[in-house]
Amino acid sequence: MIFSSWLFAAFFTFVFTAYWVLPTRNARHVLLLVASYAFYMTWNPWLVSLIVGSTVLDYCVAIGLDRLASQRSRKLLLVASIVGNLGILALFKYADFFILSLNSLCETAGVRTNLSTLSIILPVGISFYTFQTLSYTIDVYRRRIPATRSFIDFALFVAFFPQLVAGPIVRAADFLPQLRTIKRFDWDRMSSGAVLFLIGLTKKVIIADSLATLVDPVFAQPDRYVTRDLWIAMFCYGGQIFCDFSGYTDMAIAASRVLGFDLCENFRSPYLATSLSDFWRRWHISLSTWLRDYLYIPLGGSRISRWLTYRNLMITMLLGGLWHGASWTFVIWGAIHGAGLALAKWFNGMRTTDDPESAARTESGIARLAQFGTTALCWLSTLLVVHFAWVFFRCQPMIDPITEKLEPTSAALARAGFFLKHLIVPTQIAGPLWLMNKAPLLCLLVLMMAIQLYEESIRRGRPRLVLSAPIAGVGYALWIIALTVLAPTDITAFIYFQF
Amino acid sequence: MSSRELPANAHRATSPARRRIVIIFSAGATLLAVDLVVRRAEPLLNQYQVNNFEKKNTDVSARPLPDIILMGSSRSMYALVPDEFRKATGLEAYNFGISGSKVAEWQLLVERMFEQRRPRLVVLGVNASEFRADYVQSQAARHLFGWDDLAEAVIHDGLSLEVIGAFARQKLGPLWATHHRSGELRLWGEEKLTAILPKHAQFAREVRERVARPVPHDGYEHPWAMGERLKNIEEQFLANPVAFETASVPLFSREAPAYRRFGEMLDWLRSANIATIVTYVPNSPRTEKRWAVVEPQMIAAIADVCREHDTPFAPCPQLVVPRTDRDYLDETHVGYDLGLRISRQVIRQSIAMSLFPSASPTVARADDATETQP
Repeated sequence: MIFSSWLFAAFFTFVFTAYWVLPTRNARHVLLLVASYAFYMTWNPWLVSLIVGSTVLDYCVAIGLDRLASQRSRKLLLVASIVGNLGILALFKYADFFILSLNSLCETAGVRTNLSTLSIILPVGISFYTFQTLSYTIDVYRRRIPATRSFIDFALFVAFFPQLVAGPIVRAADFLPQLRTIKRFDWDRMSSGAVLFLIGLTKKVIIADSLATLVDPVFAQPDRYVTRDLWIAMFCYGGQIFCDFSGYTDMAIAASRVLGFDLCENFRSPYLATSLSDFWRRWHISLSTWLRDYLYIPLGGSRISRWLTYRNLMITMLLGGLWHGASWTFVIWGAIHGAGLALAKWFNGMRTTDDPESAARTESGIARLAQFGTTALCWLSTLLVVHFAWVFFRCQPMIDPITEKLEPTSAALARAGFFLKHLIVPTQIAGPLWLMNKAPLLCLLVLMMAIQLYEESIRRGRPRLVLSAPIAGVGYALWIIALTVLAPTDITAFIYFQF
Repeated sequence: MSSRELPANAHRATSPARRRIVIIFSAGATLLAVDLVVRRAEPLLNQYQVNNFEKKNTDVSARPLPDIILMGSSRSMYALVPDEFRKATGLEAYNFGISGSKVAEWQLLVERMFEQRRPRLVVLGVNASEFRADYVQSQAARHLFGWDDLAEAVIHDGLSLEVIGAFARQKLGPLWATHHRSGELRLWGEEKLTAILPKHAQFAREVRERVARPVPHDGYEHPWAMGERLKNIEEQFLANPVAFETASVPLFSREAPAYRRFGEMLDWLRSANIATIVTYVPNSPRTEKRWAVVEPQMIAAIADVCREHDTPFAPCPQLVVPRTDRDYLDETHVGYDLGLRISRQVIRQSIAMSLFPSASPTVARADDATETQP
């Protein structure tokens, strides 16, 4: 069930009405839990058992962790939870990837293996809810939060439908306390939720889906386009993935808000970042903070030697890349970010000096101009690195239209290599396909940047644009009409559903 | 204090409740006003509405029912050439193929169209895609289904969110004209924006011209027969393999509702004394290869139903009607020449089974005629 579909509109209208009609907190939670499972079952009724299994496992483990005093027993329980959750994830998401990689590795070494793949269906959102339940067990183990005794509450934390399939990855410490109070109907939450949902819907159906029509053919056959078109497609993909994912997040946060729940922020104008570490403070924040708290810091973080810090950054980003999908292209994407972060850390370490005059120097006009130039250069280089990395993220193995078989990863890597090479080296193509007939779509990139600049200015304390009530009403109506008329008739799934 | 004395930012001082009411009211009023404008612009928007069923239904209702009705989806719309049937039998034939229609729509169409007036022969062109167990939304359904049909579908075929959702959209859609006519509104807007969106404008213009074209006297229009040089599959694939649209492999289940409905329809035709022949409209060799796992089973299941209901079936195998990918407009729609060959094969089989009241020697002549690529 896609947020931008009429089926979801009908489903949500029913859930919303029933939720606010029900008088007690428990009844509302049961309703939300049933609705969440029903929401998931519209994809595959059987795979909901994985969520239930994971919920039961972590509920019991957490209670055990809470009660036991022996550190050894607690550690064993934690390991059981980690092995159980990651085992399910490994089986359903990575088994075929490991088998195929092993086959090619053996082939390279001259050993003949013929391990056949399992072809297991990938459950939607498995990476999201697995990380969510894992964080809960680890937090209980660290005694940062107590284990909840209410199974319904815990099950709802795992399966809450607005964020079940593509995040944000919610922490128990943020969500479970919200279940302890009965929500009151609040018009302000309703109106801000409705506007946020419209923003998300616009990002998805107007910007992301339209940019996809420009991006898809170029990434499928980069050898048929000229260098200029490759640059356009690369930036358009950056716009598409941002609007697709942040559009979903906006709708998830909005749907939760009107039900009385607050989900964490997941994006903060990421394409305005002036360094890679800044980018990761702005992009998929719930994942980057998860990786920081449960992987990077336990590995030692940056409070160890310089080289070990670089190693930790690389490990974190490589696993972050693999989290997105079972493909070497995602690993390379993670490696680019890991290497970039390590390089930036090294560079910052070299640059840091205690210059007492630097503060005074920044007062002068020239210095301010130089500061601006440096910031602009940092912004541009960050934007370029992020978009070069997106090429690997986007060049996934494709299904052959005739044989309907998945091409090998090497073909996807070759495509990405060709793409990146010809961003610099002009292509020599006889009769290239013409991308510029879609040039009006480039206005959408401007719209995307304008949205980010506006959101950033709000964050920096600039007051929101407040129109007079009648003009605002007319504006909302015209916005809805534009969405209705301009939205493509086909409903497309969100990119992050596959992760 | 008069309104003139209000400070410029007075709206910020109004109470949130009042502001909310004004916003909701003005938004509602705007939506309503735009909706009324869209309703008034109906004749303009109808210029962009492609509706095979309405056009053909109006055409056939206004004159005596032709003797031979050729039915099916858009595959039959191209594959069954009425003129060949006319030449072979001397009887008037009409192609009532409707884009996007499937067995459920044909069943309703047959029962409604032939209730009062009956043709002498019905030729039904079918394809595995129309018997798929997975649901594919059909535009044609919105013109045919009523509440009783939905109830019948739910009772017999089970509860399907997709079917109920599609039905709700058909019935509730017109309440909000702006949304219901969004496709036509978009085409209208695109045609007006020729300078900015030349390709979109051209497409919108083509749609408008196609809609404006009257239905041919025999209901048949094939772009190749009309001199339009559209690329065949090979040319399309070579031009841009990525943009090439592949027909999705259908899901096969002998329990799919389409088979039951198909049997009921054949029974109804038999009880109404309407001679019927079912023919299989073949996919391109390229699609046959992709569908190799399911298509033979589906053809066998269709043949079974025909046998159970005493209806002749002409499967059109490759040996009898040879074909290559070049004979196709796209993966599933036949080109004009192949349409002629399929029609002649059906005519031969119908004659062999004495389904026609009288056979004409022109069949043989048509068979021998040199086929030319338009």
